[in-house]
Formats: sequence, structure tokens, C-alpha cells
Amino acid sequence: MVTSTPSTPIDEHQEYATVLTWGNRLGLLLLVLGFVSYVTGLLPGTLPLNELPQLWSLPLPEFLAQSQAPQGWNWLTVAGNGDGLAMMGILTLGCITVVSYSFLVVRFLRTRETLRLWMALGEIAVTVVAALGWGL
Amino acid sequence: MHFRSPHPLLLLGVLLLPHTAWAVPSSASATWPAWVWLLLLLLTAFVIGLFGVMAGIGGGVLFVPLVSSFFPFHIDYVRGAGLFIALGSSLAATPFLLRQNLASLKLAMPVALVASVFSIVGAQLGLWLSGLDPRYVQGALGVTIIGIGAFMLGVPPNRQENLPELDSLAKRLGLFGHYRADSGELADWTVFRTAKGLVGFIVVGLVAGMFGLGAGWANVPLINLVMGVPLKVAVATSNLSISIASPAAWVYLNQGAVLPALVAPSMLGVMSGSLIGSRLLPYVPTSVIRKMVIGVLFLSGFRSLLKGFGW
Repeated sequence: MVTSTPSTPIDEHQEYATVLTWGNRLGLLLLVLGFVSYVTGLLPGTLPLNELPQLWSLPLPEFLAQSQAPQGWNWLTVAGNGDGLAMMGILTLGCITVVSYSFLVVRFLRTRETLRLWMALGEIAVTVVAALGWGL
Repeated sequence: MHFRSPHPLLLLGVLLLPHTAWAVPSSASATWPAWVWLLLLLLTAFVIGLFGVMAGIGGGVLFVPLVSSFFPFHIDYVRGAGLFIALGSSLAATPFLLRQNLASLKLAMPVALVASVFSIVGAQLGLWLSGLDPRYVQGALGVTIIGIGAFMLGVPPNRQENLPELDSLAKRLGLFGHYRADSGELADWTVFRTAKGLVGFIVVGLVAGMFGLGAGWANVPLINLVMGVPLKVAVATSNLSISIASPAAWVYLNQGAVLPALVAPSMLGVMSGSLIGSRLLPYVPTSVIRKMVIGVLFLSGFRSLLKGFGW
């Protein structure tokens, strides 16, 4: 079936796409800057580059015990290191859903789309629980 | 601009070239400098991105079985990187697809919510199994990848697009819209068998979270064949839902299984490969590449299975 409605971007798509674009740019920029400064030695590494081959084949508990590497949000404490900066990029990419969905929540409150509002809140809740590691 | 189609065997050689690392003794992990491995990882990820996009399955599903089979990294870090590759690639592609109204936020929201919840369960299950013995995960990954290869062989790449009658759940969720069809005209799309489709995403979430795979290989047939959405909208919405469903990646990150030194070259390689692959798409024989990639899936699946048995 063909319709004559013009295909301009839907408002919520436009808004959502803008948040994704900027979040993705920021995340990738931090990732590249961090990784390049890590491998070139411009910034120190939390996990020294030359020690990685002895670490990356270890099971997780042994790796954590030997490397003393930070977990999850604790990487924020070493954001000034090369691999720490790269991790800031990874954390940024992981946070994009929560930020973009927050815009949707505001929109759905305004348009009174209850079912979609609950879905958006549900997705934010699941992501936040996973991101904070609550009960996981 | 015209390209002569390269011979399929040449393409296969290029795809497998970085995996000559398989032939390297395991002691090489400790003796080769890290930058050599990271460079190999970058090249491999580039080739995976290039062929993944041309085969229409994305890079995530190829990355985990290939890298965990042929590189010295523990499978937990490879799965952690795999989830961020899927996330990064879909985030890069989604804004364009949304602005073209090809991806539907209305359709992606329920799909991603179901997949998100069950990807957490899958991620926990995967890390628990790996803690018992990583060979369990490696073996299960092998069986899953061989299953995905067989599934892809059986699924037709396209189908007659029609307009199914909207079911009651789809009506309630407002799952309909329009998009620009190949003819250039605007065409409507609707959804049916919504409940069955959403149940399918429970399995997709579990598998994606457990093995760190991108879910494009399953999302597209589910949205297209089960829910009756046109292929173009299904592919775009699959991308959008992968970009939303990030919780499994957080589980790996919080457990310490995400190493920036592995994620960065993997993500950069896959994304640049996908970018070039999408530009080459009009000039290459996609059906040959699809068959070849399915062949590589079988190979890496068998390799994972053998590793699972400790061979």
C-alpha cells in the first residue's frame, strides 16, 4: 500500500538521532585519544602495555588479582591514564541509552503516551541496574 | 567507477589471513610484544567489519568466535569487547536510519526492552559458566555459531513484501509507519504476530548476552519473517534496538571483563571495515560473500567446539 504522506523525519526520531550522534562522537573521540596515547606512551597505562600479554589470557579472577585493574566505574579514578581515558570513551558509549531515553521520557510525559513512557522508564531502570551492578 | 569482482577464494584468503596466528605456538602470547597482537587484532577486526557488512550480518557475530579461537585472549575479554563492538557499530549507523524513518523507535522500544532484560540473564549465565570452566562457554559458543550458520543457510535473504493485518498488541503499541520503498514511493508497514516476535527476543537477548554476539543475525529474520515488517525497516530497526540494548555490556564491564586495550582496536577496526564495506557493497557479489561468511562461521564454530573439548 502506498501513501501520499511526506516522509519527513519524525520529531522524536530527529531528537533521538541528535543525542546519539553527539554521544557517539564524544565516546569515540575519548576512545581514540586514550588508545593512541596509551600505545604511544604519551600517557601512562593503568595496565602497562608490555605486561598485557602475561595478563590477557588469564581467567578473570586471576587477572583481577594479578593486575589490580579497576572494575566498572572505578576506572574513573584512573581517567588520566591512557587506557583510563579510553575507558571513559567506553563508559560514554554505554551511557548513551540512558541519556537519549531521558529525552524520550520528557517527551512522553508531555504527549501523555503512558505505555511508551513506562517502556522508556523500564529500559532506563534495567540499564541503570546493570550499569551500577546492583544485585548482579 | 567499476570494480572487477575479486575471486571468492581470494576473498576467503583475505578473511582468514590474520588468523595465521592460529599456527603460532601458544608461548607467542607471552613472547610477542603487545603491540603486535593489538595490530593483528585491529587488522582482523577491520576484515571482519568489511565482510560482516557485505554479508549483511554485522561484525559482532564473526568477531567473538574468530578472535576467541585464534587469539591468545581469554574468552571473557573477547565477549566483553564483542558487546561493545555491536553497541558502537549500531550507534554509528542508527542516526542516519532514524532520520530516514527507516528505523522505528516505536517498534524498537518493546523489542529492545525484552532483549535488554534477558541479555543480563545471558551475561550472568555466561560469566558463571566461564567461572566453572571456560571450555563450557567455548564449546557452547561453537554449537551456537554452527547453529547460526545453519540458520542463515536456511533463511531466505529477502522475501515478498506485503502488508499484514495489524494485531491487537501491535495496535496498542502503535507499531505501524511508512518508509521509502525501493520504487521511491512511500509505503506503509505494519506488524503482526507481535507476541511471538517478542518471545523470540527473549532467546536473542539470552544468546547475545551469554556469548557477547551482536544480534543482527537473529533480529532481522525475527522482525522481517515473524513480525512481517519489510526488510529495509527490519534491518534498520534491528540496528536501533542493538544500540539501545546495552545492559549485557555493563555486566561484563562491572565484572572487570572489558579491557580498553582490546576494545579500542577491535571497535575501530570493525567500524572502519564496516564503513569501507558499505561503500564497496554495490560492486561486490554479496551472495558469494554471504556464502563465504557462512563458511567462515562454520569453521570458527568447529574451532570453538574443538577448543571446548580441549583439543
